[in-house]
Amino acid sequence: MIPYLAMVRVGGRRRGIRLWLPLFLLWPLVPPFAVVLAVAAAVMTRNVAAALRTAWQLASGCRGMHIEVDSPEIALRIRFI
Amino acid sequence: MNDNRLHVLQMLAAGEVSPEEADRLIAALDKQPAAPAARPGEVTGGNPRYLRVFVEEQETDGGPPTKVNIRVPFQLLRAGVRLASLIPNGAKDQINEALRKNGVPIDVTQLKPEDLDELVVHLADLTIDVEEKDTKVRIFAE
Repeated sequence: MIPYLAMVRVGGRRRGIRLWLPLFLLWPLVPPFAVVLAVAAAVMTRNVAAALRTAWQLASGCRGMHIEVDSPEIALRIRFI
Repeated sequence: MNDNRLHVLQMLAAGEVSPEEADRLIAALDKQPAAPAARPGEVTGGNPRYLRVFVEEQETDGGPPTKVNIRVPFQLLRAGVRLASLIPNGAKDQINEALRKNGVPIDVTQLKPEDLDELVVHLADLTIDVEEKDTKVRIFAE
């Protein structure tokens, strides 16, 4: 399943910006993107099914990914749920 | 130190829980019965789902350290390896050349999903710890 929410926090715990990005609102864009990808895959690799399957796996693989950077200059947290 | 206790301490360090909450969580973990010892050859952690990378670097001016904590699903790594198999051969040669120039002599034509699966199985029992003067790196599967 592809992620439906991305939590982004920039800055410190008290003064930072916290965003919940509803990725599920982008799901309707997946079919047009898949068509474009299929055309590109047909031109480049001639293996449309494998390209679409890999693209889906890449998108769904992002679920559960956490990236946290905490430094004196910047604090950044991104979580895909 | 087991992973659950380490996770609680990391939450405490990140300010996600108070010291009292961390104390209660660790006390609750202590009450849990210990897991049975693994038999030789048995994968203790089961099939890991994530690759965790911790990097901590001390500032030279004595300031707070820079910390990086990344959790990557193995499913994403598998998809990346499959993506490599879709790259046209001409592009693979260029990628190999660029990697070699940058000190990463990896042949992307040799990347196969089966190899990654085998690597994941072995990563279940492996933890990589690198400690230098100002930098600590820890890589493990969970």
